[in-house]
Amino acid sequence: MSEIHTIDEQMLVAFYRNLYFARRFEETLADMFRRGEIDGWLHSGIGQELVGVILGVTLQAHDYIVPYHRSKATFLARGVPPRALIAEILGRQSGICGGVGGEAHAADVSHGIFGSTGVIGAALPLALGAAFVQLYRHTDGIAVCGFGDGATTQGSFHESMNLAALWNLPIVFICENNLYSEMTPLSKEMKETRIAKKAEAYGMPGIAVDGYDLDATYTVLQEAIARARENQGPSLIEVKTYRWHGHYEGDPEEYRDKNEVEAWRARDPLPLLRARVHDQGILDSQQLLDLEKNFEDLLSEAVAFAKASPYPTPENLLSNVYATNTSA
Amino acid sequence: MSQLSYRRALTQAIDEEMARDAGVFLIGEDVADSGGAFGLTRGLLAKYGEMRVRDTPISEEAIVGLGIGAAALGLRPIVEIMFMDFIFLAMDQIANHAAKMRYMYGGQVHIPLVVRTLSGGGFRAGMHHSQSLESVFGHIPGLKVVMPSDAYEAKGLLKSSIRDPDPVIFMEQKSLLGAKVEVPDNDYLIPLGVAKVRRTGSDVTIVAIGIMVSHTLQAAEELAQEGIEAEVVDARTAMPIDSDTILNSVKKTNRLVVAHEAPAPFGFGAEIAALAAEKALYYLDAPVIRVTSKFTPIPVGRSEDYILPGKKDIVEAVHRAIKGG
Amino acid sequence: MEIRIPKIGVENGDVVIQQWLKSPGEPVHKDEIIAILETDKVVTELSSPGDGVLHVVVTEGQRAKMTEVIGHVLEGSEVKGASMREENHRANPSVRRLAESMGVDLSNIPAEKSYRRITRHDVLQAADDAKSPVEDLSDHLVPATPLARALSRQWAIDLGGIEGSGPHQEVLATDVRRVRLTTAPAPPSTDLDSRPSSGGRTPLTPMRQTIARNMMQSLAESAQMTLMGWLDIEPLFKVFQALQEDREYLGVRPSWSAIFVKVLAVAVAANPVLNGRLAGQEWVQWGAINIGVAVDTERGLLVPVIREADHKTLVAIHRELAELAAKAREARLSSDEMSEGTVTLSNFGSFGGEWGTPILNRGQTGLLGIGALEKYAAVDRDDRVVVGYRMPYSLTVDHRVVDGAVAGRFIKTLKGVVNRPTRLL
Repeated sequence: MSEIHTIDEQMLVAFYRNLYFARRFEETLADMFRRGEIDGWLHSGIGQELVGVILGVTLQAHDYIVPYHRSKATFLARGVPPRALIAEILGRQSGICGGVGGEAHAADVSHGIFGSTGVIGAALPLALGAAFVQLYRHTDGIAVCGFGDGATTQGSFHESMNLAALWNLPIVFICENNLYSEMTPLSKEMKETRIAKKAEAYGMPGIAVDGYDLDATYTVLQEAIARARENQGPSLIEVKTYRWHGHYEGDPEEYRDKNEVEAWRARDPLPLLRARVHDQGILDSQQLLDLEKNFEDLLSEAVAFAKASPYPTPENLLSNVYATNTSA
Repeated sequence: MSQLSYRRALTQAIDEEMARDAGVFLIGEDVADSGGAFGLTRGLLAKYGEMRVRDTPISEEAIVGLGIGAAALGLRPIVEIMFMDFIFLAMDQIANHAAKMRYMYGGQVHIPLVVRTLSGGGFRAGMHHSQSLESVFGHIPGLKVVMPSDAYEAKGLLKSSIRDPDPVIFMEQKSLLGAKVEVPDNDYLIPLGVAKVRRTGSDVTIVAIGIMVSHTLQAAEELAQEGIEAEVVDARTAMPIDSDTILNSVKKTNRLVVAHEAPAPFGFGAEIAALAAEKALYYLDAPVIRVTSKFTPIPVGRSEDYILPGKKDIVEAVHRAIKGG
Repeated sequence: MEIRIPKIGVENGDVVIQQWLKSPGEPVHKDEIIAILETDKVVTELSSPGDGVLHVVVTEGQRAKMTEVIGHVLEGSEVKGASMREENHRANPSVRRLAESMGVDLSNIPAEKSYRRITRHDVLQAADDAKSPVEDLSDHLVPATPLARALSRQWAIDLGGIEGSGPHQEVLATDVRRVRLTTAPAPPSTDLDSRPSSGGRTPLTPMRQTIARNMMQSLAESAQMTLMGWLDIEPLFKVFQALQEDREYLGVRPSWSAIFVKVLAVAVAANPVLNGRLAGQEWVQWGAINIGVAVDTERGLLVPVIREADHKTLVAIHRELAELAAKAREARLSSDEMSEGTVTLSNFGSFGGEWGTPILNRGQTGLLGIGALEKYAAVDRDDRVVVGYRMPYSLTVDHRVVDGAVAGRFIKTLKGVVNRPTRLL
């Protein structure tokens, strides 16, 4: 197996930039939702941004990502324009899916992001297809499939793990275990809560990692990605992480202890990463402030752009049901 | 041109398309090594290799999902679901993903996927190996549903389905597998959504689909003996519906019978009846009559013959239509 | 001010409010036409009794009895809250509560008599009626296939008169085609497809639709026979000339129509075989002789009635007819003025016609059509050729009750009157 590069200074800055921006993006959306500026639901990924940031920064352009459903961080770190992502979440024509998909069903195939779905567990079979395309075309590209702990109790998890291992597909399954399936704790969803352990039954490596530990998570992911890229088969990575907000914005969260939330918040990787960038002398305080100020401007501009964008027209809404000119 | 069975016509269609387009691949249970449960894909593995002709585990949801993913990213998968009854296991992937993905991603992708499956009775194999589910899929925006009525149709329609940019549920008619008709050896396509008038007549229009087309053609011959000239329209696809061909015929004959093997409620016949009611009411001189299976699961053995519709039911329906109800 | 159904027709029957020409709450003016009413015999217009705002009690398509109040013209302060008062007026609170609980709309319950309040029984009845709409329809709806219906509309064939050959006697297209073949020459095309229509299409006015329906029904209901011949008009021509000379006294231009109203009335009085109607298995003889006169207007044929014409002078008839005809053309004719005709006169001579086969007004037994007066070479008693004056006539009778001989005797009576104008005095 090829050697895993350690995190160099340039990558560290990239992680910080993306983590900071993803956090501010999540906070901004949550604020907008509270103000009633977002239709439908919002499923915040706040607290879980790190995995998406690592994937977005380190994957290659021809790799496919079937994103974890909360992960705006994946989109942003992969280079999807923030204005187009916000516009999509606001259901506007200028969104990445023309404002029709919205938060849960957003994809940006030009950035290799596809397979997002509103159905928990449905992403895994779709990701098999993405991995199969890499195999079929003899590329060194891979597919990465993000999902939550709740998806592992679906039949599709079993079918997909089995088939991926059987066909030696170039895929990394990343289970972001945030301890809750919607509003129910893991212990009420499954007898065996050590999700990584399940990989063994399918004949693939399963590794659990602390998702708030940048170095550990980075290393585990890079190893699995390298395995897939070198045709050594799929892996299941269980990233232990935590969701700071409820299942959806406005969730009363009666099912969990506030102290538990506080304990995870106290381990927030963002300030640690900031200190590391600063203390290693990569960026000084002023540079960090300038960077953060730039992001605030970018965010305000993106929000203003999205809000000013028109909603889809009836013509937009009636097209794309078929690729051919077909009506009932 | 040669006499070819329905089964061989399908094999030929897949073979020709795989030879024509390197993006076409075939996966399914038993399709590779054993050449398919009915020998339909025999010889393809040897010709195209394991990457393009693959056996899969019994995992309907995973293999259809894989097909959708591959289709969205540029390949042309043919996924075989051995019997249509099993397709419910893949329903989330078909209904929520194959059908909706183009729309929900704002047109960024299209899904040139063909799900081939054996449908209908004829093997007397009971409720889990005999259904026709065209109306389940015709109801979902984004899907196309094809039901070829003989070997000629099977080849032309399958080739068109493989080349079509949208997801197609391709319902192979079990009881026609051995039936032979003249089939051209060369490449020809039958467009999806264009019905075919298989027999012209002035007294009644019978819109039939799938296996019911052959029953209907036989019924029409019998009716002609008594002086009733039935026009037989082979719908070919349950979705899209060729409204023009059907309505033109109804306007000519003023009577409509619809025949399909699935049960009546919410079925293809209901849709065609509604079409006539909406667009040709003042041309109707008799109630629209549906010839369908009875509203039960399909029992095993020869009891199937009682439940499924046949030539006799069509003749009776036409008699009623001619009398005015 | 109350808007009442006037008395229309000889017998008491229901009137259908075919159309309100004004919407509730819209201002209306005295004598303005505000509604179109329809009985099974005539269609008539109803004018506003005064100035004010329209309030509708009986809605379009509903039936009402003669003299029933079907609406109000509200003035000034009445307008506000009128509908509430109307409801209060028509039903007491407990009946209103019952209606509400059963989902019955009180405004849909026609009061049997004006001022009669709606009772619990009425509400229960209305709720029952609403439960069985199929039963309700059966009186009015002839079961027919959509194609049969479309063809019958296209060819103006009344479905009600057709015996259906469907499994439950439904009328099928073939039945309509059969009736058409036996009743009318084939039009150039039978194609239902809308051929490019060269001159466009115009929907019929409600009034025209009713006329069309009445004509078809009249033909379907009775066995009409028309006898034709000449009337020697020489003696009457002298009367006409005398009237012309005395125009100033008459006040209007002398008219052959008016003269023949009197002629017909006198003949009917002398020989009343046409003054009645066949009702089921019974002959109903009428006492009064009321002559309807067909008047051609822009909107269609109207038939104002000169009542008891046998008792009126020629001069009075002239004046009355002139007034009625003017009203007809100005659409001011009240339904009273068109009701209760017993025999009808149609003067197609006024537009140059000679003979015709006029269609009976529904419920009548005789209609006299007269053509244009002409000079001809007559032979007098001394076999000399002289200038004579004559007029073609066409008498339509209902052959179910009037045989050729009976009709012939009536014509003889008629000729007797025409030859002896003194009988008109």
